[in-house]
Amino acid sequence: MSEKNSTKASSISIRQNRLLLSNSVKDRIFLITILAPAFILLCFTIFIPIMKSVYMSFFDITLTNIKSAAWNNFANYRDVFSTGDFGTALKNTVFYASSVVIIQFILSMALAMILNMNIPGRKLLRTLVLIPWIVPTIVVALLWMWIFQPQYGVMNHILMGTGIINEPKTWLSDLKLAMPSVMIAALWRQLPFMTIMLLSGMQSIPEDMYEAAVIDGANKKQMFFHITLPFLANVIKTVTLVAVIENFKMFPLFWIMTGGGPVMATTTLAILSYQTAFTSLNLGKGAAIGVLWLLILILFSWGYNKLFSLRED
Amino acid sequence: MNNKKDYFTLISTRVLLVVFLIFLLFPVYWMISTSFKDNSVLFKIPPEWIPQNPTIKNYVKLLSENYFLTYYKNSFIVSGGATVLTMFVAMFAGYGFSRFRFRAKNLIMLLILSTQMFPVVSLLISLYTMYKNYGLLNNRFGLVLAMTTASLPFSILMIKGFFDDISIHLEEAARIDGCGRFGILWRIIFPLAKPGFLAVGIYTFLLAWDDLLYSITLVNKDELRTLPSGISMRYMGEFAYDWANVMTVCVTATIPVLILFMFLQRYMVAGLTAGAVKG
Amino acid sequence: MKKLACLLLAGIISVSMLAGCGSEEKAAQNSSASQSPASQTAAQTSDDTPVTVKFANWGMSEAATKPVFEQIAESYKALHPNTTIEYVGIPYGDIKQQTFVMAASGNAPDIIQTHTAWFSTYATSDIVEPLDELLGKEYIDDIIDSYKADYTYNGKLMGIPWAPSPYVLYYNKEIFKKAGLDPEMPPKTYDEMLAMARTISKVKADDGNKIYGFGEATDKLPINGLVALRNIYSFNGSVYDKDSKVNVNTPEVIETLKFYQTISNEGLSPAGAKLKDLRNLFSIGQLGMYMDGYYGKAVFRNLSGKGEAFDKVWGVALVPVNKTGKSVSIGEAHGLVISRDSKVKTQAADILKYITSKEMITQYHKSNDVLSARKSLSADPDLNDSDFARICVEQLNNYIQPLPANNPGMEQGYLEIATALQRVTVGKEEPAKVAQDLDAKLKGLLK
Repeated sequence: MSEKNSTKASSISIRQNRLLLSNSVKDRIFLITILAPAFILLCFTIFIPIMKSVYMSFFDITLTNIKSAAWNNFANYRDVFSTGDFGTALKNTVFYASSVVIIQFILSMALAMILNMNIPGRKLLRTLVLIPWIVPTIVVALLWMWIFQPQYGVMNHILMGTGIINEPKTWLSDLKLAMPSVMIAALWRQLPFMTIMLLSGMQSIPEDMYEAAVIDGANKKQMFFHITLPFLANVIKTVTLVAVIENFKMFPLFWIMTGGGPVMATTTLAILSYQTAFTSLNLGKGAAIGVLWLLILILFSWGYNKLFSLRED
Repeated sequence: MNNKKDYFTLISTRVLLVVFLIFLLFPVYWMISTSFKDNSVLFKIPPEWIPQNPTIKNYVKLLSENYFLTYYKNSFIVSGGATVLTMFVAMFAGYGFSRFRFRAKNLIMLLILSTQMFPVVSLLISLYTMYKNYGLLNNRFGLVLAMTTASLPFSILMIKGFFDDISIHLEEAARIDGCGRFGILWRIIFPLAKPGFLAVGIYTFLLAWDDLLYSITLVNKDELRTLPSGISMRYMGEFAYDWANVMTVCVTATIPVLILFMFLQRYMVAGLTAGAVKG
Repeated sequence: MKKLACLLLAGIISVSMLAGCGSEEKAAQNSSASQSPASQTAAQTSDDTPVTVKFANWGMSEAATKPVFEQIAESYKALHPNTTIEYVGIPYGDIKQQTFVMAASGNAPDIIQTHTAWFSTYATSDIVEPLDELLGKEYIDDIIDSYKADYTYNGKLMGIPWAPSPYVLYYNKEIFKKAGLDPEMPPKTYDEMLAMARTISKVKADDGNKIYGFGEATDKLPINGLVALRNIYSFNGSVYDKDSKVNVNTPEVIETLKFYQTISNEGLSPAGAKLKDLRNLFSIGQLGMYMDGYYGKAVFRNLSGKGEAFDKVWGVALVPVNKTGKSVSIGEAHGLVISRDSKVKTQAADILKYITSKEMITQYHKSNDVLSARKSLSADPDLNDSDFARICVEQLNNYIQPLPANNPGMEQGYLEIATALQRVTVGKEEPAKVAQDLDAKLKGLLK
């Protein structure tokens, strides 16, 4: 039974070589056994709290009246949309996440290609490049906050010294510069991981493919677009999805560096959610924001899947 | 090939590399340099690129107080534990998603991924209550569990990706030879997916290493604190940030992890180039 | 196979190690949880059953205050061998959210350290116990009036001020000299202060850096909204009007916003600065004047790296007089609250009294310059042992205006005020418009 199917599936294309259709009981048990741990773990440690939060979003519940919450239908959701704050935060978040991931991808690809070459000391370089990723995010936030500090930070000093700018910029307090500044800190920290992932993907591409292409007269650009990228397709899809979702959730960088300011310039959904729950004290509304966030990301993942056909056939 | 073009590529590559390295490593240098400075020269402009009166008193202070070693140890235990647990659970689940087709597969995958799409901040109260009911507050295993749930969805996705790239012929051959399902897993699949495990391992380790919110929420006993939580507790005070000490902690904490990675680096390269992944 | 066996082994070892650690902690937790049968009637103090009082705070791990907390725990234990104070350390930036999370799960610490900027949240919540009966009339009447007002909600005292601090004017004597001003004559009025700030801003530091004349914090944090009240009050403005209705769309508030805009536009104040930045700048001699609490002294010593020698560089003065004819400032403090769900309220109340007793405050004063919010200690020589202390005490006891009444929306309200400051300084918007918007927002928040 599986022979026939696997013959069908054993075409050269990478994507279709791994389906096992099987109805035997033993296989079913096997499947359930291997999926169960993940399922149980996630269910009991995070799925239930998420469900609770979704439930909570339909209550009028604040930090100051936790014990006496009342059901209020969709009032929280209406409330969320009543001011422009949710829209602004969403816009900021989307801008931030997409920009960071796109820039990160381009830079990581470039760096990975360079590191994939036969340059001296590349093993050491590959380790050195990982350092920013090891620095805890709160320290990254503090470090870059210090670098960007207008009066005694190093960024202004260097830029003014090399004549790139004339006067000190207030990076994190400037309505237009605050978001890019935080993005630079995020890029700094996240670049290494994507680079290493792309690099390990690149290293599993067999040399003979390139050699054959060279014999066929392909140039570097063609080799990149027709060999490298397709081979890396899986890795790219996964890593960029991870990056988008992790950046969507980013909290410490914004909280420590700008607190969501100036005014609303760097208020992302994460900051809005936190502020709603713990400064405005409105837990119900904060949960509603969380639910909306969830829906947005689910929609995004679904769309992403469709676009890049991560789905199974 | 065209010599001039090659030369141009060579130079531009090197230049680009240098630019990258400066971007990535200058702040690290800045961190290190700060850790050797005294408070009085910390905020000088123009800054002391190389400390004029380097002092090791920050390091002495750090290593003589035992809380740093405690935080560090806890971070390692929690991150290591989470890595082991995640790899274990993800490798099975990832295989299942990779090799099997079943109803609601996409839905289940989406469900699993969606657990990573809810802001943890909105979950704090429910999470805290739940861990309290399980008796896992102020408990390293509780943290391990929390970290694992944080990294599991993507780990499964990543490992699945690596499994997807392994040809099914090998498994079919093994089945014909009479190998059982689990046997196939241990003997054939897992060895070939080593780079995948490494990727998941690194991802999980660093995710757990970096975590702040879970650590602060689930643990407030000093002897069980992890590093980011400890840094926040000790050096990000009400009145001022203790820059020199923060940087010192960071440098000290980074070096051993770096050495560990240097080690793994060799293993990663060896594992990748040794066995051919493509059937 | 071998590799997998190793992996499995490692996994089993780690899991069992962690489970082992887990059960240790669980055992410890269980034993301390089963030890709180203290009675709840306010009249008696049951000293015979061993009791643990959990005190959540951020100070126990910070270098400056760690010895203080240790000393409190030790000396209290010596006096009451059956009562143990157990500290629950939570970072300053997270303690509010964490203690509420704990309370929501029924696991609230008995005593919680709070800060004025977010005290309203505690006071108006249902997790804090009123202290009138626990502390007794005598103790409560002894609290400075403005603080008593600040810590009251619905007529009940919800927390007590610990280590209270007025905002006073710090000025750098060396910078004054350099700018040609008399280092012993700090400004007495706002106009003088502005004029001096302008003079100072024309001078450069020895290393060629800019010197700011007078700094105010405008970062997006509730505490900056709280601090802004000091300026609003000095311009004779307020949040509530005479009929206790919210009204900030007043000429006084607009004038305050203009003040912020002026010092920002003229480069007198560093843009978008946090209070922490102001402290840094003051410590490196790049800020001529700014206002801060008593803790400035210790912070400057540390940040400047010069220790005690730095004390000579600066002076302190009462907040300059503005439109009200007197110096006016606001008071902040580390409010101590007792959880409603606490099972050891009596002991907790006793600990609160102990912490704010003359003996403890004097020791805390010696190490960290703290003040006392108790009227009975205002003239105490031990707490007035230096010019610095005397000025702080004078500001605290005579020239403080109470904050707006506690309200569930107050913390968010402070955040809105801070945002308004950003709008006029960084955003360069019209103060009149910003005041109008702020008014609408506060009306909605402070119902």
